[in-house]
Amino acid sequence: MLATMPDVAQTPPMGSAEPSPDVAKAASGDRVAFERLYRTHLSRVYSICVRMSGSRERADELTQDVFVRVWEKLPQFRGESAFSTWLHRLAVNVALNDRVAARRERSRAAAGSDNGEDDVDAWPDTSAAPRHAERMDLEAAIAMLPAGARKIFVLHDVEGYKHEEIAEMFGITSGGSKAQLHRARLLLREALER
Amino acid sequence: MNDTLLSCDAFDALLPDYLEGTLDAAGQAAVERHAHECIRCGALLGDLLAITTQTRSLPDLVPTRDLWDGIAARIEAPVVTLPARRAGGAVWRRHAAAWIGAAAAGLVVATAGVTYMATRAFDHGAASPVASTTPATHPATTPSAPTTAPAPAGPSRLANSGGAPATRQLRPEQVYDREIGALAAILQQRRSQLDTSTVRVIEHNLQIIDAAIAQSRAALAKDPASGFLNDQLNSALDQKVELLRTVALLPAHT
Repeated sequence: MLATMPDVAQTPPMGSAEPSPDVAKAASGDRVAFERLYRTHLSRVYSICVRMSGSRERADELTQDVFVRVWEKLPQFRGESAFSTWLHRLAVNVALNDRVAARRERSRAAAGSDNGEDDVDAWPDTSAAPRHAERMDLEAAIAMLPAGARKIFVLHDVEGYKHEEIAEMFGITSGGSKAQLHRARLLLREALER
Repeated sequence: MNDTLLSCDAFDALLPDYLEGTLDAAGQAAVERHAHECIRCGALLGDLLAITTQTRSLPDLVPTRDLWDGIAARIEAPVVTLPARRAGGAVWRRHAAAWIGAAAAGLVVATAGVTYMATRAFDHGAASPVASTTPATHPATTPSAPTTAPAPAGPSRLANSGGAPATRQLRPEQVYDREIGALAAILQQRRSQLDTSTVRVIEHNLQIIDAAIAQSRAALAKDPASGFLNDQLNSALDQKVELLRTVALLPAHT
């Protein structure tokens, strides 16, 4: 489903100028500086990983993957965008290319439907999902979305990506991205109403 | 647009664009008028707007455990210094060297724990290594493994065993040779513990893999820039490591 990911430094969805000396230090191999970067950006990266994967357990692993990739790629960071923007994009790419989560999604979808992970009818039984009081928590409802709709919803409504950017990431049309987003919102409403 | 004629179906069709803010003024007015007059559609619009608003204010999340140890273990794994095979080489040649170097580095990370466990078992005179203990699962799939596996002891032991230079200073081929050598030594020590038919099968497969390695190396000597041949060589080396690794952890007399 996914097309070739754009370069991580290509499209800055957010972020501001951030001339942190730790970035340069970490790029030259300073692990103490890199740990400071990790502490600074952990929650942002972790949030992306949780919401994109739909699993906190998997997000632990993805977050580690992201920062290992950052460590490896930092020497190539050209500073053309803010470090936070570059990091954000890299985290999104890691989450989008997560094969483990994809396998889990397929298994989950197969358990509920034979029509694949993005089938609207594959909306899982939410009776087993975590709830707060009588209503499902929004985070839990997002996690229960079918993978494709969830990722597009998170990228657009949470992370602020435009449909054109999402369409490029997924190799679909902007209209397809809009349709998936709307479907995700309707599914969330349904889940939150239960 | 004549908003007085807007049906619920039409409302549904316009709703995504309304929420995106891409409807023209007339369209927006029609949607809002219909939502005001229709209980079902009014509730739908209100709910979706609320979801959108709530989503934008979702707080950042924090993991329930510190992930740094796992990251630190992975970024401290040995890095293989890539050799310059030939001055002025082609772009692909550089890529091929980098590729096999990366594969060798991955190999060390992926197998060092197993080698460590296996060699430690023999150092302590264990007759039957514990096959169920596999601490060297590839870090890309289980990045938290280094936090529980004997990571600090494993890689450093592998890199420094026998007084040889650290892995960081080895060429990729040397990394493979060292790993294979360590595992092959275990196989030799274990021969008497394994069923003879098992040993025959192992040796037969090793001969096949060794032949493939030799053929790939011979071909690479003639065409060092070939990506295909690099791929073949690396695949064969990986197979040999995998086979030896499996053997090292086989229970006695399977």
